[in-house]
Amino acid sequence: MAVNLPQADFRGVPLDWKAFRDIAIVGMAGLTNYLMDASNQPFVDGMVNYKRVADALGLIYTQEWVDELRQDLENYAESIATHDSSPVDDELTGDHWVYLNSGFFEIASLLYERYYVPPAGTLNYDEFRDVLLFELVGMAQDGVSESGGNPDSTPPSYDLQAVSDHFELKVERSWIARASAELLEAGYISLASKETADRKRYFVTRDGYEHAQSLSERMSEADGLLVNGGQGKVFFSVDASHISRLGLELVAKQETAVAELVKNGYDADATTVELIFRERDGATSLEIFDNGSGMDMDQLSRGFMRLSTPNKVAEPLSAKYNRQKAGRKGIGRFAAQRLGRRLVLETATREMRFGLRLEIEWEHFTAERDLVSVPISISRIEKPFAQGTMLHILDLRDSWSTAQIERSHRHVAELIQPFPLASTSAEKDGDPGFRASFARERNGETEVLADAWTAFFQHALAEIEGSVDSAGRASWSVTSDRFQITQGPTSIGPTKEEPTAPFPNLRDVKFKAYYYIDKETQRSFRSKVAEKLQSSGGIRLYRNGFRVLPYGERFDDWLKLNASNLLRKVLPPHSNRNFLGFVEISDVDGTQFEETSSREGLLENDSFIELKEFVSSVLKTAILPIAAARDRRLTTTDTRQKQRSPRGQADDILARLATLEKSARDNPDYAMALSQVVSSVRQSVVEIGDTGEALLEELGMVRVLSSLGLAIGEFTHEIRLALEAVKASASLLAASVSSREESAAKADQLFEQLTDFEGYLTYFDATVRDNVSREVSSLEIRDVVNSFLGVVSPKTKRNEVSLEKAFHGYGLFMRPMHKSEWASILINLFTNSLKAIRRAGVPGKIMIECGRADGMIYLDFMDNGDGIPPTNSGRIFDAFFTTTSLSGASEEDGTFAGMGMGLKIVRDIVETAEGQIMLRDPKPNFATCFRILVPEASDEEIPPNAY
Amino acid sequence: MPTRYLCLDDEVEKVRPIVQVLESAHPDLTIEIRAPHKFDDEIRQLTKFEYDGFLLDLRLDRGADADGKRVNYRALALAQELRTRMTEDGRGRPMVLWSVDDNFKLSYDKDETSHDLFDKQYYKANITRDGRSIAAEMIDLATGYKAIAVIRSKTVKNPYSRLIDLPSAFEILDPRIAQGIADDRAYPAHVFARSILRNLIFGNGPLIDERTLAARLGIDIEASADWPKLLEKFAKQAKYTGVFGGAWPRWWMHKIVEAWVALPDGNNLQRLEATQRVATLKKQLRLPRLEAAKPIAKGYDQRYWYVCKFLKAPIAAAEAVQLFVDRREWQDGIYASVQAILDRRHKADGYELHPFERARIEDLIQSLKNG
Repeated sequence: MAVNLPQADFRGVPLDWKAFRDIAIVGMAGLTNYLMDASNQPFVDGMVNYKRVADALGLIYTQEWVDELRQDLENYAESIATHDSSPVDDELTGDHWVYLNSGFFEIASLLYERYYVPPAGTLNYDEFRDVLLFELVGMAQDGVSESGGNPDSTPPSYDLQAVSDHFELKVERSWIARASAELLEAGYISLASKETADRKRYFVTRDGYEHAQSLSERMSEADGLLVNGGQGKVFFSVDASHISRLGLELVAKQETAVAELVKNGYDADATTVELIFRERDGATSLEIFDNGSGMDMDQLSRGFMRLSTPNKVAEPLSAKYNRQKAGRKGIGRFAAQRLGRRLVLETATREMRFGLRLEIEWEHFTAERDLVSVPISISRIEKPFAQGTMLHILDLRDSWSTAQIERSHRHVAELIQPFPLASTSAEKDGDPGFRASFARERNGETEVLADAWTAFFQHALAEIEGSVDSAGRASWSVTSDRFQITQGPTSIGPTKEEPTAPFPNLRDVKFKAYYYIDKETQRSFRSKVAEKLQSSGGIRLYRNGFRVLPYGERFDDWLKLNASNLLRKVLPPHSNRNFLGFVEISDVDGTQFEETSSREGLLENDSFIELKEFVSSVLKTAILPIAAARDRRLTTTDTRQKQRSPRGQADDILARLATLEKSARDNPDYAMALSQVVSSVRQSVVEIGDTGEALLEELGMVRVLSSLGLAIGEFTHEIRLALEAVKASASLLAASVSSREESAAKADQLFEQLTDFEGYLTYFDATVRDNVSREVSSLEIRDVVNSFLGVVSPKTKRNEVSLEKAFHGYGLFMRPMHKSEWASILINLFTNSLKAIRRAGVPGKIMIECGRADGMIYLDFMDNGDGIPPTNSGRIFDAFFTTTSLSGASEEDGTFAGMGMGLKIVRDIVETAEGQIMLRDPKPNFATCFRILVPEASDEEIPPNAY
Repeated sequence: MPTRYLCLDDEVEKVRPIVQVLESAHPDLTIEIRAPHKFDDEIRQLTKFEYDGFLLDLRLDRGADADGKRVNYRALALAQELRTRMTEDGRGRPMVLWSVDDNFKLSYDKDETSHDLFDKQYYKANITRDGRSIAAEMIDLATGYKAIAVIRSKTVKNPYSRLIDLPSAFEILDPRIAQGIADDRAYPAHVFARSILRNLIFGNGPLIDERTLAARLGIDIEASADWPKLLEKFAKQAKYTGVFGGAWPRWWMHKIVEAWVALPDGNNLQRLEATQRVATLKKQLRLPRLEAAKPIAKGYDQRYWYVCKFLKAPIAAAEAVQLFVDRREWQDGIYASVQAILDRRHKADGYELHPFERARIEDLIQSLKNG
């Protein structure tokens, strides 16, 4: 019987309600995506649809169960999942969309273990005792306690029950007592004096170490090779199933198994590992080639086939690049066994003139068979490659779908640090890094799966680096090619006050982060980069070259970047989605950071807390110069405006004069050009003069208007109180005349007019108050339109004009402008419309429609007045330019906001805001439509309390 | 007996008609108006307690009186001194602040320490419109202060429970509501008044107002001719009967729930949709002319619990967005419907979202951005 781990799958399996719920929850967390069919996508925009999850997993359920699940999610799991409306237009599943938070994933992963992880193999008592001693010695050698933390004493003592629990060994109740008695009896352990209520603690004795060593040697022998003259057979001498179970438990998942094999390559100082999944005529195989140091006969027998720790403990670093070894307990062999039924291994070292080839049929390993007869053949072959190891895993146990291959790819890619930070390329013999590539070959056609990282790094807006040296001194730097920024290294300390002070605990840490702002990414890559940031954004953590989970996972916010981004204490965007980055901690002896006992992350010790503080404050500080550069650029790119401005023109002339002067001095021939330049300078100066005149004239008008504004501002409060008094008197009057009908109507009318008056006054008052602060801010167009309509609605009643508004889309924030600028734009357009309606003599209709178009916010102002004849429509805009009747109020009805001045003001305001105003075709039943376009606000411009 | 207020204002002639409107809004209210005296004189006058309450303009220092004299203090200073005197004296009077417009928000809101001095604030601009209810409130404030004075003068147990007419109130209510004054009648009257007004009357919580009551029963008040009958038949047992209940009709929420549970098939009020709630009420109370409130927008949850501050319409928790206001722990807070938030109605009135709602709304708006 082959050792095979069937993948649990509940497709079409009859379930009870509870199992259905649990399995659906696991699916909702995305843990069983590999079992889902690709029909209706249950995950959209961060939401998940549980009905679709159940369908994709092929679960059998009744409608009531879905309702009950809804109830459960709402009532019992409310804090971990929130129902919301559907992100897609979908009638059928509209009700089943929820948002999840991290608590949900914890529950789901617990449930995953219950339903999907195959039960660990059961050991018999003898096996258990051996394993227990073996693990006990391993712990003592590694110098860790049974919880994975620091040991209680030197030498460390252990509670055997706790050791057994730690390794999740399946035991019967009596075994611990029996094993401790037997091991004590044999002298492998001794009783520690320290003793809690009913639990005894033990030391490992010298004999214990030796016995464990001999146990491991026996296993090694079992795995070892007896080679005769390059040709040979190897036989197992101990219970093969014992070994198989021990190993297979450690590589239950296929992607873990693949990762273990990749780690072997890393440990062998390879720079690349290539994985090819082959499928040919129904036969499947996996080929893994690493260009590492390869194995000689001795290493093959001791390294690959051996299941023991001493080797790794003795040589924690790889020979060439001093890599911290990543593989666990020589487990690669079991990984190979887990993946396929047959293994062919070829290896060669640089020195060897021949290669070695090993073939194993795992099928032969069964508990029943006499193991001595299991043959493993090894042969000397012609050197297949310069150096390295090639594994052909044949007859794969799992069927590998593209999704699964990608999952493995991701798993491996995320495991390995994109490139090393500690050693620079200038350093000789430095580690050049390690890369894994994945390919799929189907009936001869090869398809390479994309490299996970590099493609994205080159689109970064900036690169941020930080490091802490061996004395705890920290610094950071930022570079941006786009903005020509090179800053740092700048010191940073644990407190703001003392940037040069060292961190008390944190040592030897480096990190690098690539910074992205969606809008700044090159347009053609924007969606790709955004997708990558969405799925993998954040700062990962690599310890000795390998990934530590869950830091930087999709729903992890270990640096509290998302939280801080929401609070927007630091204004530029800095959520996990703005970074691709990683922290490298080289903690060779594991003294600084401790893994939690569940191996899920690091303990929150002082070093780790300092690390979080360090990385997050560097990130938040380093993005500031980028933001400043962006702002500068945003405010200086409008060259159109720049060219027209007097300052721009003057600068231009000065530059031309300087060139002229230099050229004339250097080369007399340039004197020829002199007359040309002089004439152009003359032209420019004349233009400046004209512009200056026009500006002076305009300034005079503005001065008149502004003093008018001041006067209004000064008196509104006084007028306000006087008006309230008049209103009160009017209402008293109305009350006293209520009997006589005609007077009553007049009193009511008076009262109504006073209310109108009050409305205008409120508007003046608010405008004046707004003007006190000159600050501009990002406005939502609804706010300006609504407050405007609130003011003019009394007026529209009197003029029999109906006013409508429509908004398309939400979050219509505009580039910062002053509120009164918008008040002015709308009042001017409104006055024009009223006049046009009056001229047309029709029941008036005004419509304001707003929305978003190509990064701009538009406002269409339409009326059904007499319109602008097509022949004139061009001249209307000419008029903007030529209208210089700045001398004062001259319009027919005496208002300042007449055509001449009014539309000029509107155009000036709009263009200052880098916007545009234009005439466009009105909708049916309207005669005129002005469209105003202003740029949409960027994320940073939107204040935190915008919504 | 009419309730007599004294109004101090530096612009007597301008304010007089407004005061008259207020007076005429209620037969039992009389208001005398005069310009303020010098500070010490004024204090001496006011502490004679000849009036049932005071109506003060925020700025007393701008206009001159008939003799061209101007005082140099503002209402806050006067109010502070008056409260101190009232504490020493033990007697109390309501103090009401009024102001021309919301300008006073700017200076008043920033001075947090003064918030506890006044029992209520009104805008002069609203008097012609809301005179009737403002007058009623001013009278009820004075009545309430008198009731507090009566309880204080007797040796009674649990004066606070007596004031809010809820025996063993603090077996039911959050003890912080009375914060140390529950059993101590030695506190001045305005401390009791303030606690009851701020903690119970203003803002839904243990007590709810009429619109919220209707929302929780699922009823559209305007469309339900039997609403007054329902208040009489069903809600009367839950009606708040303590001080200040005259001008501010309120109901004890826990008693409403008790009354609901006592109905033959009344359970789980909160989980029922408006139509189900109304069906039960119609059947059990035999009140056919009750109509269930329609949702603000299609698809909105009809298990109403709150009232949208801006649309004045009932909303369920799912569509309720909490606003950022000074909220006591036992109070519900103020909510707006998602619809109103999307239309930015809150911004027009100067409200902000509660910070914990921001992400939700931001996400919602992002998802609707181009819709």
